Amino acid sequence: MAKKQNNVATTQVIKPKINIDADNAILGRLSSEVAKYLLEGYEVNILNCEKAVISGKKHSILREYRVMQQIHTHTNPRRGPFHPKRPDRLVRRTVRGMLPWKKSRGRQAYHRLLTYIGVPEEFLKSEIIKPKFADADKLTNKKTTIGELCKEFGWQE
Amino acid sequence: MFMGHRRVSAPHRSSLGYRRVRARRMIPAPRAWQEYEGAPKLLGFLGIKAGMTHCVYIEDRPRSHLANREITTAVTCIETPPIVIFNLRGYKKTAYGLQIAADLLASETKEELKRKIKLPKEYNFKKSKKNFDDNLNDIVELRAVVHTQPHLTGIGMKTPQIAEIKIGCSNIKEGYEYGLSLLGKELLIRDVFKAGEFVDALGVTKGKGFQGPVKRHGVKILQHKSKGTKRGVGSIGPWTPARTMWTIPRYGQMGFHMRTDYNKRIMQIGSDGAQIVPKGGFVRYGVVKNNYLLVKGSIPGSKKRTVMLRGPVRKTPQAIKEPQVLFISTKSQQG
Repeated sequence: MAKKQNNVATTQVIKPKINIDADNAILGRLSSEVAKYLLEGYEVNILNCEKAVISGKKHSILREYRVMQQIHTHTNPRRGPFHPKRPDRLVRRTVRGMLPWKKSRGRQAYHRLLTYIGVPEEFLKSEIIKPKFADADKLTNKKTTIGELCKEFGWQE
Repeated sequence: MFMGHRRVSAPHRSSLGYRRVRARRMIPAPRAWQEYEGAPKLLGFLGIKAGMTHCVYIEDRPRSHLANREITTAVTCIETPPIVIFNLRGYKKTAYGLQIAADLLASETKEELKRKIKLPKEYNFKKSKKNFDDNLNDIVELRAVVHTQPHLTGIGMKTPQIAEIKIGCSNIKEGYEYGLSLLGKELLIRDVFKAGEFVDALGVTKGKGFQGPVKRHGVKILQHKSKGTKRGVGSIGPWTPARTMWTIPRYGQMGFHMRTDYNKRIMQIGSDGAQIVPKGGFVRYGVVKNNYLLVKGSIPGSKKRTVMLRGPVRKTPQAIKEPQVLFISTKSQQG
């Protein structure tokens, strides 16, 4: 039997990688935009995850997350759901919530996303986008960084 | 009279703080090391458990009600042939924890080490050392990779075992020079610990295999008229949720876990094994041919098993007082 030829892969346009700087970016607005890019087929790297912000006072955000973290399997907490406590993982999990995770399209999109604490050396020479759509300067209320939040969860810098 | 309460609630059988799974490796990789400032030294050592005996010593804790009186206590004998430092390893700090920055293998290694690992055929020590020197500024933690020499003992084991031991120092450069002076050489137990100090003993406990809840968790044996079984748990949970909770004491693997025993006092460090070995040798071990260590109380694991001795992580530093051991029992342990 002749092998099936996969012509789809050859005709697909290779889309460029997007490097996004999350410094002073609003987490939710950033994540929804990133989710769109991922579903279009882009590979996205998010840098400086610990510097992304959530609008609101620290204690009220913390309270919401603490409630969320109580959700676990009643009969065996080791089965999850798991709650990330490191900034890069927390950002990645937030984007996952905005993807169709139960469809293969969403899972594949999720695997195209990588998140980092700080800016690793390999990105220093590449182009890094500063997202205007998620700029936290337009906020007039208080804001909390992901790093501050994760330190409360036990993350050590 | 108290049965009514017992029926409503009861203390949990066995701790839920440990995972009861088989250890992945025989030699532990400690997650914590002693906080140490001062002249560079290794913060741990490897030994082989030989057996137990008892000794009489004078109680030197001033606030004890038995102060200055003779006390009999059980002691564990650990045989400690010299360990060999064959590699220096530097760790750098990253956002994701410690990562290896540089390795420096000794130019000459022992023949026995080839049984355990593959060594490079062509090796340029100068080149490696230059690489290590270049990375020295990034390095925040230094560890010595050591191997044991079980062929010096009488247990019949030839393959050495490998472990990483942190070099305690107040300055990385001092620690590096100390490590370089030791590289490829043997280190004795006396260079690391002194009698009277406290150590943590890390090792793999005795394996018990697949056990039921009575032996594994200490559940009570039910009355003889119980239906089905009497060596089981009376109730493994309510109708709903219709699943078994993770807290229920159940059957499974028991023993062969990696465990740490904290704050064991060193009673004696000696070189002449004949003085402490019982008549006819330790049962299932034999005689002690090398330097040895007597530790107060018990340590995890079976005889002939390697244990890691580590500087105490949960003890505030104290003035070291060498215990005055008056007598060590060498009575035969065979019948």
